[in-house]
Amino acid sequence: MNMDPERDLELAAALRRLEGGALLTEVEQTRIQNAIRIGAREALARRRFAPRTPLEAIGGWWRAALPVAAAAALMLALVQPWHGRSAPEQASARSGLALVVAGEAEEHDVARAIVGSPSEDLWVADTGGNGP
Amino acid sequence: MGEVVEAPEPALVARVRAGESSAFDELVRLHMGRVFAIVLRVLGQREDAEDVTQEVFLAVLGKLDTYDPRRPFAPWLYRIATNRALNARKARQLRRMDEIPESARAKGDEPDVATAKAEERERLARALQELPERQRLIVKLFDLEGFSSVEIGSMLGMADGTVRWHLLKARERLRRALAPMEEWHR
Repeated sequence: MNMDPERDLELAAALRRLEGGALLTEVEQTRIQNAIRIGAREALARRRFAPRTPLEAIGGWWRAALPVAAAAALMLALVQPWHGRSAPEQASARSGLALVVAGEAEEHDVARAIVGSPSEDLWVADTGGNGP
Repeated sequence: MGEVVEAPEPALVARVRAGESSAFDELVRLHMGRVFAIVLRVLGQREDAEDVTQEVFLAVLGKLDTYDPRRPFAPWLYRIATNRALNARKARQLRRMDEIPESARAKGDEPDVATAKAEERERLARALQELPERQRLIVKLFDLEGFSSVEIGSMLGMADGTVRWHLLKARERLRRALAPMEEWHR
């Protein structure tokens, strides 16, 4: 429901005589529109090239990181010496590997870090052979 | 000028968001007249109003991501325009506002008639200047530019009932200043 009072036309006319009209001339329109166009150019260009979804935003980074991640995963799979062993063995192998990586390992530690303890393997073989 | 510009705005705004220059041109073309009118009524000077109108549209482009496309675009835009104009008025401390606009000076009358008209217009201008800023703006936007009380309320962040109350107060005071002038025009 419109509750507005009637426009006061006399007052409006007096104010218009005092303040002038607010209609834009063609020259003013063109001047303002051109200035806005120039001012907006950069912001519009940024909008054109901006990623529109979060997936797009990480797209560039993800594409670059994908081969690196794949290579790292492959390397990990190749050098992982404790695969399929029990937790204490893994801990022991990890600590040996840590020594190797740090360059503080003796020669037998290097071998042990890679293939595990020969005596332990024998023990596994023995018990496996003689078990119930 | 009272009717709200109806346009396929959600689609237009979406295109501007995607950086389409022609869509932005269209948005500017649709609203430039009303934005200029609002800014002019706050600032009183056409040159300043031109500058601020440009600033408004560039600000809108920057803020477009905060606009909710489910709501009508025009009130959002007009509120930005009003705030920008009020800030510009404060920042620039437009002393020229206190002068009688050039358009107020009588032209082409006999010297004594011209003097009488000029005096009366000066009285109206003074009454206008003595109004609180909000009342001055409300009466100009309502009676001069044809905005509704709801539209003005949304621009100034007040209830439409409050707008109408300010309008009546402003009219009363201007009418008193205008009274001798009306006799002259009869």
